[in-house]
Amino acid sequence: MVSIRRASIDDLFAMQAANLLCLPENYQMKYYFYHILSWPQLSYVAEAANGKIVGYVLAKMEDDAPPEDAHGHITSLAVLRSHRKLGLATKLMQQSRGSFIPTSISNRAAEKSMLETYDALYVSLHVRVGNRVALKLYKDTLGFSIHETEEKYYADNEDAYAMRKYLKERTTSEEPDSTKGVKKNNTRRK
Amino acid sequence: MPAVDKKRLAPKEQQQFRTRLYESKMYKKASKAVETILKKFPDHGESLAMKALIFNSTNKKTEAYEWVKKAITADITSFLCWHAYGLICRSDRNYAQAIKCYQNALKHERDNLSVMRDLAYLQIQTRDIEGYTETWRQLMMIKPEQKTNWICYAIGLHQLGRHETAVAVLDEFLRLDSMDRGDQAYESSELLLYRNTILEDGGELNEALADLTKIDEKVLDKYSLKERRAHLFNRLSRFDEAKKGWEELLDLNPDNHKYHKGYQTAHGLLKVSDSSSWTEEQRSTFDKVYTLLKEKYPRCDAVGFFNLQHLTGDRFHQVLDEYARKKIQRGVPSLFEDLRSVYDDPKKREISRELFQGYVSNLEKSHKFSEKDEKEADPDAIIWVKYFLAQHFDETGDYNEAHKLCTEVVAHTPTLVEAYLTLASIYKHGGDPVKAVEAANTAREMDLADRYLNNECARYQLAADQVEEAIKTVGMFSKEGEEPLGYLEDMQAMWFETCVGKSFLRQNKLGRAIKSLLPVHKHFDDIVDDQLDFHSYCLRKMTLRSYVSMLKLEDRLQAHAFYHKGVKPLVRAYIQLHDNPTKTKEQIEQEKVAAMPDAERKKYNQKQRAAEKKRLEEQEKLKELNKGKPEKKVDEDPDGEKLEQVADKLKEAEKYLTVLKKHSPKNIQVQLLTFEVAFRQKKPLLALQALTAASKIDRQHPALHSAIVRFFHAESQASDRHELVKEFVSIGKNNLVGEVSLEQFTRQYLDSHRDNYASVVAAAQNLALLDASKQGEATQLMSDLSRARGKTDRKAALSACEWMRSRDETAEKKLREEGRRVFPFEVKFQSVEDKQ
Repeated sequence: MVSIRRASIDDLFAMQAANLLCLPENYQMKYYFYHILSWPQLSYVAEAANGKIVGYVLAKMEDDAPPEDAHGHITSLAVLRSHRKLGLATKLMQQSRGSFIPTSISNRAAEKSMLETYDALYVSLHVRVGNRVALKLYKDTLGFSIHETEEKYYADNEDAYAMRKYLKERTTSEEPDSTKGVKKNNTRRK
Repeated sequence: MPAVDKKRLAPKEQQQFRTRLYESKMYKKASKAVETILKKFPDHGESLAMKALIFNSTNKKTEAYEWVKKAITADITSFLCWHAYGLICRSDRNYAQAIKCYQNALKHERDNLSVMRDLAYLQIQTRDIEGYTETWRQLMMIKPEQKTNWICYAIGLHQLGRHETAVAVLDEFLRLDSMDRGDQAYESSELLLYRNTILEDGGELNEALADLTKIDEKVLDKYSLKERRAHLFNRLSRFDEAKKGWEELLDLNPDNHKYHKGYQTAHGLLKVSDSSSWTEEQRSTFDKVYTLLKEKYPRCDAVGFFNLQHLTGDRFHQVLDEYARKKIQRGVPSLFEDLRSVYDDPKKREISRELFQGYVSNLEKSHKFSEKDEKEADPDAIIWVKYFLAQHFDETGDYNEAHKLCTEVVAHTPTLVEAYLTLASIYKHGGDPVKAVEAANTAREMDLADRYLNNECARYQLAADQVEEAIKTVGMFSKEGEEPLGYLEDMQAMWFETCVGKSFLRQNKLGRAIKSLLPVHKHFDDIVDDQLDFHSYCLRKMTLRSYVSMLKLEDRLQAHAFYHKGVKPLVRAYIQLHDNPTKTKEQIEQEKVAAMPDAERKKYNQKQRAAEKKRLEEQEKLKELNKGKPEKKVDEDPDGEKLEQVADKLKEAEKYLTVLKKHSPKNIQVQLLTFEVAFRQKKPLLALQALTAASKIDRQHPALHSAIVRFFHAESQASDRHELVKEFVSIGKNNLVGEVSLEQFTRQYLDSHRDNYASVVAAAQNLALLDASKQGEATQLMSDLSRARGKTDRKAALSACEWMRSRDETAEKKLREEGRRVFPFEVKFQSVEDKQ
């Protein structure tokens, strides 16, 4: 009974609280504001029936990437331990299951927004090499693969896997189906 | 002429002045250059202003203000001097003053675009929307080729409610620049959607809807487009089209409750929150619609959720049965959390209890949920059912039953981390915070890498007033060598600061409570301040819809629950401090010394002096040792003693209450706190105003009832009131109490709240307050715990014990025994022998 919806400005406090509760990497409110004010389409929350935010994905576009490498990045993803086994992390990333998808394209919330609104080529994320549960989720359920290992990425010197998931075929130049709302030359670069 | 001399430099110095060292942040070099000029021209205003700016950049605020004032005195008509003054004020967050300075600067150099823009951002920061709009209008006239000038002017008009003009300005802008370049696609899409929201805000629903079709091709954010379309169809009562819109959205995301609510609205189920008043027709519509949705999305939880929300009786039972079994088979720990939202309805609560208790007996008998089942249930099912019931009884206040079930779960599956957390919750609600910590700590130790468990454990430690232990616990997740409190404050971890503060408040360590709670207020100040950068940032990104919603959020920021949670206890701490002012260590010391016989005092003073000398010597030595090492920041007031010594405690309380009242005037706690402060300040009219406001929120609130009695009782005994005040108080009494005596008023309250133990306690104590001879009756009323249940009543029973302690020891002892029976976990009911 958890609602999965796009995050709004009003969710930021609760997202920060959920982050502080679950994860060792924390950010000040300004950083959350920065995300939602820069890329309002990319972050999602899982909201319980009583209005409590029990999970979120905070995502961004990589601003410094050249247009041919335009990609999104998952800054942070968390689900409260009390709300495990509901598939929320998957739903947040993959808003609805395959059977609901009217088009053939993958329908993962954050990913879909990146593709549709921002024309991202792929989405990237970092995960602790020792975090097996998360690694399994990204790899097996969400279709990410390890791109490289970044040594001592975390403050406590643990290494990170930099993972990627491609949203489009890299080599084909065919024009995407117009129903998907993807426009040619739709790069946001200035 | 000296005035001219002050402003003009010799060519050499002129050259020096223009080197832009300051702008490139080379402060040392800039400082040198300025000093050289000032040596020759000590009254050169703009150089003085530069000097001030350099001080400001190196964070020497006092000097900065001192020199910028000198600069202005030297050259009051200088644009630069005023601009410098404005910059210094802005960096000091004194925006009102900064605005004045910028305006003065602009008097002397009209049309300075960059200062005009800076002024506009400060105007919106301080919500001078009129000023903001006017500044951008001027900018637009001066520089129409600048895109931002048009857009900001439109934003200002939108905020002023001048929707039509706002749209017209955007249209004119789009006529000049259609934003068709490929690399502007995103900005164009956002701008068009923003324009569409202005149309709606201005009430032009049909136009907004037609506009969506027009902009369809250019909008990249298809979700927003579809949501807006369905939403507008709803608002225009074009429900058939709306239904199609919501269906399309549900196809994209059936888990989004907003889509469900929109869809329900389109089906004429407008009062979504109150299905009890539905007509038969509405009920059957709902059933039909959701049966279809269920077929379409068989695995979607949201469909089940709305069924449970809106169905009643047998249909509810049937849906709950199906829903619960599915979750139990999968071992979903949040099942109870999930269903709690339907627990407001006592009938549904009972159906749920019966259903789950039925599961228990059937599973124990035949391993099946129901006798009619063919298949046996998963062997773990019984655990999840009992786990659910333990939470159910924790919620309904039956801690014995909850404890029994939870212990069975733990005994059966000792590896179930969640069960220990539930056990902790039962102990805490039942009144044994120390046992709660033990349970939570067991959970924590089962998965040391899980920060959630770590935090939960710390939360229970704080509830048990084990502050040092809690700091140690959260410290396990601080980075190495980092001090946990500092890190958590940096990260704005308000829950922790709030819980620490509340614990110190309970322990009556008020300085430390205040010290821990003040940062919560400050975090909100910082967040308000964070806006400043976004005023210009969002324009570059063109994310105007989000920007406007940020403005709205910031306008009511301190209405947020996190602010309330942290700042209400802060106000209480100041009130408590006013009631029992604490002495400083020095005061205590002085009193001690003064009470000594002369000879002893002499000896004592000698000893103290020797000790002080030794302390100083050691400090010197330590300094010597640490030479060259970076100085460690020392907290000069670790126990908040200085905070306790604030002169007017109630004034401090008032300061924070003003913020709370501004953002949340309809919050009863805020009004009651306002009363408490005004009552102590002997401001009867303000006190009365707060009571009146509170009575409009919840007339039956037990704390309000007590406050009313306390206030009018005190007023009836006050002798120094002005006639006019008396008259107002008497009118107020008529409104709040009616034409009866305070005793009758209390008895009326008592009669209508017999079922609620906490209310009975409040009323009984008031009876005795009004008339000391009613003490016996009050005691008797409070001694009856037959209806007491749950956390609030447990606390009321404790306060009743407290009350009786000095008045009737036998009754107190009896109540404690009774309390032990009803609330077996409450440690404060246990006698000394029990504890041993």
